[in-house]
Formats: sequence, structure tokens, C-alpha cells
Amino acid sequence: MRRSTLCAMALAALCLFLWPQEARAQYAYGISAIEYDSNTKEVFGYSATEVDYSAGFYYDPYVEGFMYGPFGLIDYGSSRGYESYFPAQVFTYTFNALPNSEYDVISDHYVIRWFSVDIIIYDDDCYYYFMGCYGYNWYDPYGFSFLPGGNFGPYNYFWGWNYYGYVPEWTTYVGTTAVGIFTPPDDPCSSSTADKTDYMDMSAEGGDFCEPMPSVTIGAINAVSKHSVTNETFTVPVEVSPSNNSVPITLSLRTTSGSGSAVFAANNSTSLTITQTTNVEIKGQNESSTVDNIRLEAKARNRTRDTEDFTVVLVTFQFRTSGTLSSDNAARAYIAQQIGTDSLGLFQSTGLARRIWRHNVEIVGVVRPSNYRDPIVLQRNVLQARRYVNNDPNPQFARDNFPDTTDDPNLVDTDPQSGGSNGRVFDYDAPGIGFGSPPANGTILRARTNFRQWATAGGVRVSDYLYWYQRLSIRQTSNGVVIDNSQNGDNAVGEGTTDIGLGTPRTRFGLFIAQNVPDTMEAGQAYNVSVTMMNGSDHTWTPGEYYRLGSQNPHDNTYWGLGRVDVPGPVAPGQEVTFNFTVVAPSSPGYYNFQWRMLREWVEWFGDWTPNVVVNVTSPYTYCDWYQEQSCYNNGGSWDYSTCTCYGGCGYYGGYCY
Amino acid sequence: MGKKTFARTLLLALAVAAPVLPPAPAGAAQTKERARVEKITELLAVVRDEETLRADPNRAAEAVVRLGEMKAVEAIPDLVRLLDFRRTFDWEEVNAGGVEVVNEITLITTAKRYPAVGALAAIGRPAVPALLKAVGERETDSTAGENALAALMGVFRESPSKGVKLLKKAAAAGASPLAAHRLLNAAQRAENSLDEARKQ
Repeated sequence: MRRSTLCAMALAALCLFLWPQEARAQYAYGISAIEYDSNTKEVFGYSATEVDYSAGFYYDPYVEGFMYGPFGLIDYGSSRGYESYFPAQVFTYTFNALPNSEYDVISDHYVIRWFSVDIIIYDDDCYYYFMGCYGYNWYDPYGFSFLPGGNFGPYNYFWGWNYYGYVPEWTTYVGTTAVGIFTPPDDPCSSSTADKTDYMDMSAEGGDFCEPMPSVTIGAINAVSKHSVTNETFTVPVEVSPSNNSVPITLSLRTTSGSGSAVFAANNSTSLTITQTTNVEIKGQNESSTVDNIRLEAKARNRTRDTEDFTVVLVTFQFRTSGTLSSDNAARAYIAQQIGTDSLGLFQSTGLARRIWRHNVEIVGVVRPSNYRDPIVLQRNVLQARRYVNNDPNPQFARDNFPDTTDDPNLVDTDPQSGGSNGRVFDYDAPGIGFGSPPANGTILRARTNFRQWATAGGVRVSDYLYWYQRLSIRQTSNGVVIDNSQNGDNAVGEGTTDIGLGTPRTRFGLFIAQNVPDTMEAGQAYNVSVTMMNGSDHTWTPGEYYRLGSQNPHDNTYWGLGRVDVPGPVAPGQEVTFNFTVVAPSSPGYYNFQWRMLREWVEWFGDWTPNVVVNVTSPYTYCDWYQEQSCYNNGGSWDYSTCTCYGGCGYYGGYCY
Repeated sequence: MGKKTFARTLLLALAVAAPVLPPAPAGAAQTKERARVEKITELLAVVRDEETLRADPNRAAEAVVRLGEMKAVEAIPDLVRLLDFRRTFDWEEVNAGGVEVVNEITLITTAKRYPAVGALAAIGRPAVPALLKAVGERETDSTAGENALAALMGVFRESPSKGVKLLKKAAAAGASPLAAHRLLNAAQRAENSLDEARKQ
């Protein structure tokens, strides 16, 4: 049955039985009724008076009906019936009834004496005045107005000339009936429990058409990252109870003040419907202009079940290599104590830390929104580090992709508001090199290091990557350790990456970031692999200029079914690009090298070689006939899975024993 | 019922109800505190084990750092004792064909080198009395003495002049002439390093 039908207001009626004081089975009846149609939002009122057969001999019914709404009288009317044959009826009405409002019908019931008897004129002067003669002018046989019945009515004017006139009818009030309703809310099931119960009590059939309202709990959201910058989503658990809930729950994302926006990753929309407990992924679209101005709201039947406010955070970087440490960097004094200066740039440190040549750099994270208060941690790792002694091109020290040990909390300032920062956080480093004990004069030590920096809020990356590098060379002299400037492009620190080779840095440079390739493959099978490189050059790589990934080891091989993979789109300097492609394992089992390098076709190969992965290519698995295999064993044979052949045992032929 | 009468009644009702109200939700906090105490006990066992300090210094160093992160006041005496416990990183010293290379890929601060320094600085003000005592008891030039000073200045990293002032006050009220001398000496060194940094 449709809810609208169920929710339609049925009828609340009150009948008032009115009877004369001396019971002679003469009755007048009064009725008030009211009905609400939830579909049309109309209220119908009904007022009626009627008299029974006996009373009908002397009386007509009469009724006045009034409908009142929340703002007063809406509609009214009056009606006279005829004896017992036709009741007096008034229909009152209103449309566009308001939800959650009281509507009443009040009916005043009367009977009208319709004949007169025994007119006695006491005053003869009325002849001269032609008016105002009065006397007992009507008879109340059943006592609707008197005690007891059978008496005459009170004085009344007699109108006429020479006693030929008429006695006006006398209307007797016999009682009032009234009935009222509360209109239900628009959606009765979205109301409070009390309202719902009230409503159900008034419904025609009652019952459990209102399913229980689910409760929803949205997990905490620390910070959401701007997705177009970081490709990060935030996963928030949304718990729904009861577990078998089927009421649709609408999750919505909206900006409560200022600017900033987020969408659900599942549909790139600000609205998502769920019914069960689930994890919801949120993508920041635009950074917030103020904290906690994006609201995730869960509603069931248009009623809020839970909300969670959060911020879309974006951090950009300033890389500082000159001047002094920022005055709002809370770590400033500590750093100065450690290295003996608060200046940035190339120095031989003199403080508590080891006294070696260092590049002092300050990384400033500019936080948006600027009034963000939770900690923002600037994290770092070392992408590549190489150390060369003298002119030996083989590095004496080489290490890739390891976390920078920034576990001295005194070196960083993670509070965006400390020192009046108004949205700035800081990291500091001073990578350096030196000699343990003085080597022979003229000994040169060169350092080439690439770093990668990023910001996190509540464990979520909220910045793009900042790449920075250091090239530093020192030389032992009789006067101590000095900077060696014998090589172009040396002793520099800056944004971007550097060629980690010994010599003058190459300008067209591709930095290996990561790769994903299985180390075991089945011969002839296809596998999805990926290689991520970073454009460390000052030139954008485009497919149109034939920037590609090319196979190596051996050079230009096609072991994997292809020897080139185009860049998928323009890759600006400093950007990473992931080559996702499908390789087909060689058809012959064995060990094969999987190694690649960037090239510009017909111009040059450049940048890092990807780390070589020796892939074990195995024989394809063959599905043999189980019956043949069992027969082979049963007859004492030896089964070869690779060829599905039985050897030995009783007379074999094609694997079958006879 | 007047407003005052109503308020009085409400207060009375609350006063009567208070003793029978359920206790504050302390269960979770107690469990957390118990877990914290257990963890600190476990970490203290690591840093008190001489064999671990010698054979597995990285594990001991991690335990020290963790005690600092947890602001474990109970660990202050042990951490002061470990002020000269030194940590080395596998990448910082390289022997390159007979050349000893110092390779600080990132700055190794006193707190990184001597994890107890960072841990005591992280514990903050509760560690100050123990650190002042350590400065007064140890030779100023000794590693432990220098590190006690570094930890103390780490506590006051955002306002180092306060640290210097405190050292001078402690010197004035020194337990012995020697302690007062050391404290004053430390104050002077700290002041000098601040001045040097300012001059650079």
C-alpha cells in the first residue's frame, strides 16, 4: 500500500449527542469532522446537525461550521436542514495546508422551532404602536431550551397589524462540537519519533511503514590534499547502523564559507548515496581559503545524521639558499648553535656539529589556508647520493632512495602559526662533506646528491614534490680543506635535480624514480609494467619531439616485445612521468635483463639507466590430461609435465598405457 | 516557580544526583596510561642493558629517541646517564681507497649524534633540574658536559637567552664552588655561541 495512502489523514470525528431534558426519544445530533489529504495538502471540514423523526415534527436542524488554521479562521458557513429529512450540513475547506500544523473544525449546533402556538397578547396598546407586542409566543415541546419540556418559550416580539402577523422562529443553541488534527510533516518518517508515532496513530491502518532511521558516523578527516597537485585522496570511514539498513543515505560535500571545494573520488561529484558502512574517498579540488570550511554531511530522508568539517590544504615551497634563516622559524637559534651561523649558503660550519663544508638551506612551506593550525611536517628523502674521490669515475659511495634522517625535532618548525608565521612551516638542512683525517694534499672529494621534499598533514601529502640538489667538491691543501672550483657547474645547490656523474653535469637529464616489474614471468605471457622517470632537464619532453624510453642491456633489444615507449604527454622540467606499458615475456625460458633509459630519437640517449632487473622467464605451465597422468603413474611410468608425456612403465604410446 | 527557585532546585537535584552519576569515562584513559607505562618500562629495559648499548647501538638509540617522543619523565635519570652515548650512521663515514670521507648527507646535529640530548630536549622543562645538575657535575669540556649544555639549550631553543639566564642563576646558587664555576662557564659558552651566530 502506498505510503501516501497510509499517510492520508483519515477522519477524526466527534459526535455530540444532544437530547431534550425529558427523554422522549427525540434527539438532535451534532457532528464535527476533519480530514487531511497528504497528497493534495487539502483539509476538509464537515459540520452537521440533524434531528430524529420525533423532533422533526417541531424542529429544523441548523448548524454553523468554522475551520481554523494556525493563523486563525480560514473558512466558515451555516446551513439549515428540514425536519428529520435533511440534516443541516456545512463543508469547510482549505488547500496548501502547512505541515506540522494544527487545523480545527468547530461546529455550533442549533434547532429551530418552526411553528408557533398560543399567542397571548397582554398589551392592547400594541394596536396603536403597531409594534412591540409580545407574549408567550412559542412552544418548546421537547425541552431543547427549557426545563422541563412542554413549556412555552420566552417573550418575543410579535410583529403585525391587527394581530395578523407572524411570530419569528426561535433558534435554540443546543451545543458545540469540535475536532482538530495536526498535519504530518512533509515526510512523516523524517520527523521525530514522537511526531511519527502521532502520525501513525492517526493513519487509517497504522503499522511500520516508517523504516527505522539509520545512524551514521563519519570518521575524522585531518586534511584533504588538492588532488590535481598530489594525486592523493583521503579515505574516510562512514559507519552506518543498523548493518542491514536499506534507507538511502546521501553524503554531500559543500563549502560553508569562503572558497575551496572537494568531491567524491568515486563519481567526481559532491553527492554520493550509500546504504551500508563503507570507506569514502575524497579528492580536494580547490584549496580552502579558511580552515574547516568544507563540510561532509550525511543525510537520511532529508534529515542530517552526521557532519564532519575539514580543510583542503595545499603547501607550496620556497627554497632558500641565501640570506639568513627566517625570523619566524622557531628552530633558528638551535640551528645557529649547531652550525655556528644563521646564514644560508656555502659555509664551513663552526658550531656544535662537525666542522665541515656545508650548503645551508632553508625550505619554507607556505600553507594554504594561512590560518591552518595543525602540524605540517616537511619530509625529505635522498633520491641519489654519490661521492667521488679524486677523478675516479666510480663512486666510492653510492646510495639511492633512502629516507633522510630528520629525526631531530629541534631542526624543524611544524607549527604554521608559531612566531607569527601565519601559515609558514620550515625545514632546514646542511648537507656537507669533509675528511676524517687529513689525506694527501690535493685529494679531491666530490658530492652529488638529489633530494626530494614534500609536506604532509595528518599523514596525507599536501604538496607537490620539491626536488633539490647539491654539488659540492672540496680539496685538501696544506692550509686545510678548501672548496674545489676546478669543474664547471660544481659547488651549487638549487631546485631541480643534478646529474650525479663525476664530470660537468649534463643538461638533458632523466632521473630514475621507480619501476614496477615482476622478477618472474612465464614465457610468452603479457605483463603490465611501469617505469617512472623525472625530467631533470631544462626542456619539456614531448611525444612530438620523440622523447622515449628505450630498451637497454643489451642496447635496443626487443626481448620484451618492444624497444621503445613514447612519453604519454608533455613532461615539464621537474615533473615525473610514469610509463605504463605491456611487455610480452620471451618465448624461451631463461634469465633476461629488464633495463631502460630515456632517449630523444635520432639525437641522443640521456639520463639514468633504470636499475637492471634480471627476470626469470619460466616455461609456460601446461595443463595435462589428468587421466593420462594417472594412467602413467598406475603403470609405473614417469610423467613429464612440460610435455604431458609418459616415459617408462608399461608399454606407452602417446602417454596411454594399453 | 521563580527563576531563582528553579535554579536552586536544579542545583539541589544535581548535587543529590552527582554521587550516583556514572564515573567519568576514565576507562580508556587508564588503559592508555597503562600501555604508556608498559612501553616506557620496555624501553627503559633496552637503554639500561649494557649489552644492547654495546652490540646494538641503533636499537638503543631508537629506544632513547622514543622515550623523548613519549616525554617520559621517568626516564630522565637514565637519559642523563646516557648523555655521551654516541650513535653513528652507516652512511656518514666512508673509507674510499684509504681516504676517510666524512659524508653528512644531512646535518647530524648533537641531538642526532647523541640521542639522549634530543630526548631530554624533547621532554622539556621537567628535565631542566637534572640537566643543570649534570652541567654542574661534569667537566665543561667533556662530551657529557657539552651535551648536557646542548640538551639544556635544546629545551630553550625558542628563547636561548632564557637558558643562559637560568645557567647564571644556577651558578649563583651553586651547590659547590666547582659546580658554580662549571655552570658559569657553560653560561658563558652558550652566550658566546649565540653571539658568534649573530655575528656571522
